[in-house]
Amino acid sequence: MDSLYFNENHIAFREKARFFVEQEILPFINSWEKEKTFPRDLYLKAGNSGFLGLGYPEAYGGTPCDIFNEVIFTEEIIRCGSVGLASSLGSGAIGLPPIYALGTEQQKQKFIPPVLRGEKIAVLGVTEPCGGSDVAHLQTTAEKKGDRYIVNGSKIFITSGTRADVVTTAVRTGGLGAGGVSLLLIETDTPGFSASGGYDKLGWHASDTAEISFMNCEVPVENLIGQENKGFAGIMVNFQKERLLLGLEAQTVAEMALEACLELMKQYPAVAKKQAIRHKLAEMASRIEASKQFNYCNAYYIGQKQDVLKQVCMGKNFSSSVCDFVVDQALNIHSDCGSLINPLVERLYRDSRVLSIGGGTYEIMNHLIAKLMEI
Amino acid sequence: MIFEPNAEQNEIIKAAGEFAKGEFDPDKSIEMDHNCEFPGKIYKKACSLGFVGIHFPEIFSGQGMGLIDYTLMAEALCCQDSTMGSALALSTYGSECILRFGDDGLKNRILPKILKGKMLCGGGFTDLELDAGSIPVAEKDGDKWILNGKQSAVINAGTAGVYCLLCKTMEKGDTRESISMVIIEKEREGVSVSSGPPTMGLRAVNITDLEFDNVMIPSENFVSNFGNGEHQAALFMNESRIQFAAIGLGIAQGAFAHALQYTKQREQFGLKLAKFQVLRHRLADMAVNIRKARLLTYQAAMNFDRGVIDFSLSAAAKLTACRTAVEVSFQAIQLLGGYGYMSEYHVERYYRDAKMLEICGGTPDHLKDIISDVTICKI
Repeated sequence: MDSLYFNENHIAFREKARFFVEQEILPFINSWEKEKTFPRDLYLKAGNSGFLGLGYPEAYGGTPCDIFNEVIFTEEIIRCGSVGLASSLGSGAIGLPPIYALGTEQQKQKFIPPVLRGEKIAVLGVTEPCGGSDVAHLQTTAEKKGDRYIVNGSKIFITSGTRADVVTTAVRTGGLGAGGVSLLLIETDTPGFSASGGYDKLGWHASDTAEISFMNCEVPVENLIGQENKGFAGIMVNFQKERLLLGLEAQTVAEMALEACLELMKQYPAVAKKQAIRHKLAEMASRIEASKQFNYCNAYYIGQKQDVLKQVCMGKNFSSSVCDFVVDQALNIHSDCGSLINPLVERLYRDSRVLSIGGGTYEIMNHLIAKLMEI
Repeated sequence: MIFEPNAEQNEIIKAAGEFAKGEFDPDKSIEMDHNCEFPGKIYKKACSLGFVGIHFPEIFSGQGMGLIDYTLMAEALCCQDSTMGSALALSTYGSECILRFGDDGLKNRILPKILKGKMLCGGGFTDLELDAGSIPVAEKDGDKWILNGKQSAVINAGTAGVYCLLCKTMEKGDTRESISMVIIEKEREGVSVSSGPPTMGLRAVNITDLEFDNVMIPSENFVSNFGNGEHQAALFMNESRIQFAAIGLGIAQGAFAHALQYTKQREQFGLKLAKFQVLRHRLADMAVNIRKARLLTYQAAMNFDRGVIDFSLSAAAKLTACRTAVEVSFQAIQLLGGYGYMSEYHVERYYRDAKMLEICGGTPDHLKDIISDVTICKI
C-alpha cells in the first residue's frame, strides 16, 4: 500500500533507525532498565548517526529533514521497548527548541551543536514541586543584579536532569502569572546548582528523572533566551511538536503491545480461536490505526507550518487513551494464555502510564481543546 | 438483601484497621515490594491477633467466623496498604481446600500449623480448559506417588510451608488419567522454586512457578477422592474469588483515600484540585464504582456463608472489585499527576498490585465465561 506520508527516503531512514536500535539498544535494554540508567555514550552514538539533530540545519551540526523523519525516529526509538530510555535520549528535543526559535546566534552556536553531536545533554526545566499543570505560577526566581541573574528555586520531574549539562529553565523575572516568566540557560556546573535522582517510579526505569535546585546560582544575562518576561512564548514554541511526539510514543507502545499479543496467538491457537479474544484484538488494532492516522495527519500539517495545536492536543489524548486501553487488554490476553509474567508487555504498561500526565495532562489538553474550540 | 455489619463485625473492621495503621509502615511496603519480601514479622502478629485464618473453625485454631468476616478484615487491611494487606490476606491461600475437602487426618496435621502462623499455605490451579498450561503428573509407585512437572503461577511460592495443587494421577501402566488435588510440603526433596522475573504487582506475595523433580508423595497427602481434583479446584476458586474481590475492594479504597487526600490539599490555578468539577466527577465515579464493588463482594461473601454456591456471583464480585481497583488506582495516579508516578506516593504500587490481582485467579474473560454459562443456563 502506498503511503500518503512516507517516501522511499523515509523508508530507508526507518531501516537505518531500526538497525541502530537493534544494534545499540535492544541487546542491552533489559539490563539498563535493571541498572536504572544507560551509558552516556549512547548519546554520542545517536549523535554520530545524526539522529539527535533531525530537523536542525547543518550550520549547527544538524540533519536537515522533514517532519516525517522525526516521526520515524520517534517510532523506532520507542521500539527499544523502554519509553524512559527513548525520552531521556531525546531530552534535547524539548531542551533545545526554545534556543533554536528565540535564542541569539551566539547562544545557538554555543549550545546547539554539542547537544546534536551527543557530547552534551540539554534538558527542559519547567515543572516545579508546587506547579505542574499550573505552569504560569512557577516560583523559581531570577533576580537581575548587574550583568547576572541570581536564580533560586527548584524543579521537579526533570528528564535527564542529573546528567544534564544545560537546563533551559523557566524562571520568574517579573510579576505574577505568565507575563513574569523568562527562559534562562543554566549550565549545570554553575555554583549553587544541584540535581538529585534515582527516585523509584512506576516505569521509566532507565530514565533519569531528577529534582534540581538552584541556590543563588549566578547566570550571565547573555543566557536569557529571547526577551525578559516573554519566556512563556519560548515554552509554547515546541508545544505542538512535543505533544505530537508523545502521541506517537503512545501509538507505538500500543502497537508493540498488540504485536506481542499476536505473537502469542501463534503459540496458542486455541486461545486465538476464541471469539471474544479475536474481537478484542480487532478493537485494539482499530483504535491503534485511528490514532496512527490522526498523528500522521497532524504531523503533515505541522510540516506544512500550519497551526494544529488543537488537533495535536486531541491526538495526544486520543493516542494515550488508546494506549492505556491496549496495554491493559494486552496483559489480560497474556494472562488468558497462562502467561502471567511478560517483562516487555509489563514494561510497556508501566512506562506508558506517564503519557497522559507528562507534556500536559489529559485534563490540561481538554482544557486547551475547549478553549481552542472557542466555547 | 443488604448487609449491615453487626457489633462483632464492627469490632473486626475497627481492629483490622487499627492493626494495619499501627503495623504497616508505607516506606517498608515500598522496600518489600522492591525486594519481593513477605512481611514475616507483621504476619506473626496478625496470626497472634487472629486475623489470619479468621474464617476457619476454632478447632483448627481459626476464629470460627465466615467469609464475610474475612472480607471485612481483608478490605480493612488492603485499604491501609495494598502490598502488606494482600500479602496477609493471601497468606492462607489454598488451605481452604484442606478444610473443605480434606479428611480429618490431613486437616489436623496441616491446618493448625497454618492458622497458628507456623507456616504459610500456597497454591496454584491452572485452568485446564484453557489448554494453555500444564500441570504436574503423579505416577503411582507402590503405596507412594512420584510427582514430576511444573505448576505455573503458584501463590506464596517459596514462602509457603505447604502447597495445594492439582496433578494428573495415573497408576503405573494405566493410560487413563485423572486429576487430583494434592498437598506438597515445601521441604520434600525435588521441590524447587523457579527463578524467573518477579511479577509486576503483589510482589510481597511471591507468585512464581514451582518445579517437581521425582518428588515422593504419600497417599495421605491427596485431598480425598482421587480424580475429583477439577471439581474441588472449581469450588475453591469460587471461594477464593470472593477473597480476591475483598482484596481488590480494599485496594480501591486505599487508592481512593490517597487521591482524596491529595486533591483536597493540592492547589493549582489558585484552587484546590477538589474544587475542579471534572476532578470532582472523577472522584464521584471512583466512589460509585467502589460502592458497586462493595455491594457485590459482600453479597457474594454472605451467600457463601449461607451455603449458597453461586459461581456467577463470586465471579461477578471478582470481576467488578478487581476492575474497580485497577480503575481507581489508575485515576489516583492521574489525580496525583507526576507525583502519582513516583513510588514515594504509593498509588503506583496500588496500581500494579490491582492489575496483578485482576489477571490472577481468573482473568476477566474467564470470569465472563463463568457468568455467561450460569446466566444463560438460567434463561
